Amino acid sequence: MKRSLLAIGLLLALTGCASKPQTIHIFAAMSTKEAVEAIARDFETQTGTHVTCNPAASSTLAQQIAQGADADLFLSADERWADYLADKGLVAERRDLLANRLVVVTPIDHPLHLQRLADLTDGKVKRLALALDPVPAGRYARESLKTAGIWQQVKERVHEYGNVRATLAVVARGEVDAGMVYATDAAATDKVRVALEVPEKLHASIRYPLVLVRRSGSSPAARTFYDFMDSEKAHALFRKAGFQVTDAKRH
Amino acid sequence: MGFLGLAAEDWRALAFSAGVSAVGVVGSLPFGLLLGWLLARRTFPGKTLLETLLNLPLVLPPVVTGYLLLVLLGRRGWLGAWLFDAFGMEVAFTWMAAALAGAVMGFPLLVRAVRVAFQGVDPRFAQAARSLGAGPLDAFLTVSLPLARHGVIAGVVLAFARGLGEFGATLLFAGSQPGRRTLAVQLYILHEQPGDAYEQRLWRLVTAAIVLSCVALAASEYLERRGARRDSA
Repeated sequence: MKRSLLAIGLLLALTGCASKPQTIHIFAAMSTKEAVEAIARDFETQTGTHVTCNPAASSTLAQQIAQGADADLFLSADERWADYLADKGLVAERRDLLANRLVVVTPIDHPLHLQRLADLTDGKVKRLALALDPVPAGRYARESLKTAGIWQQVKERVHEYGNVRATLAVVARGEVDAGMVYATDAAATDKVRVALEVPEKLHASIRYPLVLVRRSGSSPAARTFYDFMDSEKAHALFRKAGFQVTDAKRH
Repeated sequence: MGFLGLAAEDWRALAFSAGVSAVGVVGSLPFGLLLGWLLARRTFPGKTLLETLLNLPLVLPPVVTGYLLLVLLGRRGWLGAWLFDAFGMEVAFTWMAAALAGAVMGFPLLVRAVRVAFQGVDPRFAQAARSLGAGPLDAFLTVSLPLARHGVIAGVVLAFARGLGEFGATLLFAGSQPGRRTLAVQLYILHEQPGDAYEQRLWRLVTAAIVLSCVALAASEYLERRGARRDSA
């Protein structure tokens, strides 16, 4: 009697599990936070599958995934961190999704007017906010400053932050004289002014690869969302945030 | 690897942390002595409120303390805006901010130890000095303080150790600059970078941090016990 009760109980529990809604986890570069969250909400309305978004610096996310964090998708702000996961055999599929531009921003009421990147060496720029070096935004910024030949002069004034939004926030608060963030970040707040766009030739192309993480027990819903991220609806939401959508390239 | 197995940049972080923490503790010492003595020797209206305020940095999330410091002393802060506009003086995101953050976090520990130290000193010694003609400050400096010195030094060491490891408040208020990072920030940054070279550096710096903290704690314990023993003698 007891055994059959146990069997019935287990059967009920298993059927319960089978019909439990799946949750997809996407680890997204900080700069894509709002766009990805909007796309996730859209997907949820359409399919009923719940999607959680974990936004942080791509460097932080990549390392979390490498250490076994629960991620189905990874949207990186540079190829490097997608390569990092590929080297560890964690990439099931990958495609370039977005492009972005790097800009120099200043607090909205700051008296300084910068016209060229070299103007950052001006004595009035006492503090320059950059993301940390492993963070894509920080890397593109340092690359630009080095290629422009002004890194040695400005590096003493650099204040570093853990991700591109933290960098943006400190400029918005007026605690620094200038910062280097993405054009999409600058558009997200009205407390900063875009002083200039960094010439693209000064740094590697800013590309955001989308990775479908290779993991045991990955669900078909993850792949569905992976494809949805490249759909017309998703493209529209990305463009609305200011990203450029690249032609999908499969690796 | 550099000296004793630590990379140059990591040594710099250790030295910077030790330096700003020392400055912070030394700067807060007069206030710590005053408040510790006050809490030990006097009762007054609002004493409980004062005690609560002094203990806040112990219980508030450090990030909150850092944020409050920023609101007070940032370029656009209540006090900081005036300092910046009138004197061009900056506090937030400088070494002073690192010292201040460490000092604020360690202050409750300093006051606590000082208070206990003075509670263990018989006030009649100072009264005797006063009756012989010494002024109040003179009596304090030449009689009470020397008698309380073990407990006070224990408090200084403890506050120093606390300031050494400060992270949350420092990160928000003092930020991070290459070449001018505190120990905890350097550890955090090493952790954020992948690769065996960084992993090794991280381990070594962690070990150095643990050793340093242990030494400070042991010294503090020893001094406190010496102070207690002398009182019972």
